Amino acid sequence: MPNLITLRNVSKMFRRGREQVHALNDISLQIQVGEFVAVVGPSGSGKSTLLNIIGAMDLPSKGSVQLVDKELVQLNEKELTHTRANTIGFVFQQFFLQPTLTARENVLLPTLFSKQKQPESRADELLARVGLADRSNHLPDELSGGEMQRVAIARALINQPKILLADEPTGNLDSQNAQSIYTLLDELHQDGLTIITVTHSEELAARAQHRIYLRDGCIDKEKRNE
Amino acid sequence: MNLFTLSLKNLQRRKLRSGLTMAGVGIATAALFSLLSFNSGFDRALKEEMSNSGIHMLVSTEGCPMEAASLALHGGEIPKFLDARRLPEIRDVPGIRTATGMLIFSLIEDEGRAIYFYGVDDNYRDLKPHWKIDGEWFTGADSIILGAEAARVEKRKVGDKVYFPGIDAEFTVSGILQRTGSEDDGFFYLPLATAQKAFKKEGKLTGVGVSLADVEQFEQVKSQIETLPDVYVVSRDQIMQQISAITASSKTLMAAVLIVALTVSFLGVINTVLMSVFEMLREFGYMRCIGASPGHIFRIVVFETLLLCLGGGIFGVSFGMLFSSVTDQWLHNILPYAPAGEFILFDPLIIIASVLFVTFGGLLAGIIPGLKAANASPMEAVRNA
Repeated sequence: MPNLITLRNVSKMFRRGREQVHALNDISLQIQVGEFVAVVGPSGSGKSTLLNIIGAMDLPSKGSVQLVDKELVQLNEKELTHTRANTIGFVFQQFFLQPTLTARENVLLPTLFSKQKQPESRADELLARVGLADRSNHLPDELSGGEMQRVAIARALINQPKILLADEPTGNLDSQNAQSIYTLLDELHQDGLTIITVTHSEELAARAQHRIYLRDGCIDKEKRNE
Repeated sequence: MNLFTLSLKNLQRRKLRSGLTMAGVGIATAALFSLLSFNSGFDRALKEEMSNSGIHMLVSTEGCPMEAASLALHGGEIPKFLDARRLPEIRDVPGIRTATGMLIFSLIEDEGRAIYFYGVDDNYRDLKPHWKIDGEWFTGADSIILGAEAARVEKRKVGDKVYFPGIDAEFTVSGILQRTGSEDDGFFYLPLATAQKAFKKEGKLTGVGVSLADVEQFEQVKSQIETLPDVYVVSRDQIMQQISAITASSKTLMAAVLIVALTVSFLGVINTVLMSVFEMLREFGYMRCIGASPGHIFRIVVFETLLLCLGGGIFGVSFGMLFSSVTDQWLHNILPYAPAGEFILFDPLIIIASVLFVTFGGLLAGIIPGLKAANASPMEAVRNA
């Protein structure tokens, strides 16, 4: 399978007061099209920083990040925005649903910023796909945590991204709701979507075919299922 | 759904705050609308009043022409009087259509209400061709004609007697003016000679109202009248200019208050939207994560301020129109000179101008919060997650 993401000697440093923090230290890795990747490691190991750099939300201090055919460090702000809108779908632990928008409107939100055609029918398809067709007109505070995360996943998929980035997608869910998210991510992976998730959940990590273990900003070990 | 509806829904999240901000803009807009209407309405009412007075020029004694002009329109009294012998001499000046002698006096009644008397001769009717009188013109020396409002307040009808203890005189109502909508409605009209006798001003006049046969001959007529001893001529335009000058300081004060009100309301809008921007920085950051550009975020915020100001503007103009009669009454009370008639009328241009002004102000007020929001980093959302 061709590489979708290639990181070469990526380091990320930032200042915390007078202290220089090395969040990532000389990371090189490749992620192939259609892989289900879990990034695991203790808190402060650099998992989220790695996800942010892959997601074009942050740029490395050193090294290069190739996403599909683009070198992210060479893109300007407009091109980075376009990349985030059309290549990447984001799912976060806190869901970040707009409280005044219905589930359907939340799913449609990213299409306001892209040039997606007929987004309404796709939003309905996605809501059906995540099992929320009958909840599409409900506001977030009328939904359970699991339902909100499924809406967030549908929203991440509305612009037909090549990669789904999920930062602790089950971190705020009970085990039953977490289970439904695992199943959904599995299904999306089986459909060919590339998924990269940061997780503390061993169960979710175990489902991934490619696991990257980080420690102190470095790759401690990397495992791929054969 | 579009960015505009997204902004609207954001505002709905903070109903009380948005409502209060909108009310602030609304009050400032109502003030703006009222001031613009007043500026236009005052000039119009003044022109109408001058036109209804039928006087092209007013001849009075030297030293108090403007007071005399004001009296001719509003009633009252002044200490200097014109010799009544000037009246036939003025009538003899070529180019004059009508010249009518007037003696104007006020009387304060026990309850503190001022009554304005107009002593006029028969020629006065030529200056008031639009007058419609129920009853008759003066039928004798003891007859009186009441303005419509004066008759209403005095509860008198044609044929009734009316007694004024201040001058110890009783008159018979020979006619009542039909409502004119001008100051004329509030006056009590007496035959000139009766008024001179009642107020002990025999042979005296407050002034002579002159109507010209041809307005183009104004300067020639004026020059000839001014050859008469102890007279001074003011034109209708001069009276209007003088009145406008008297009112200018009030208008300036009102404009200053308005500028303060508008500034405070726009600062209120900036504050409200800025507060919501600070509260929503994470959400904006998240929107940046899902593909919103700084321009998208800027527009969302500017639309919010636009909606606040547009809503406030529409509310303010409606409020201003709804309470226009109250504002009218207040302006009539506070101004040093206020012509009769309504100042605040339904003028589509002023309505549109008021709403457009606050909407444009809203756009400007949205710039600072918009830029702040547009700078929200996508990292803002995830770093604090």
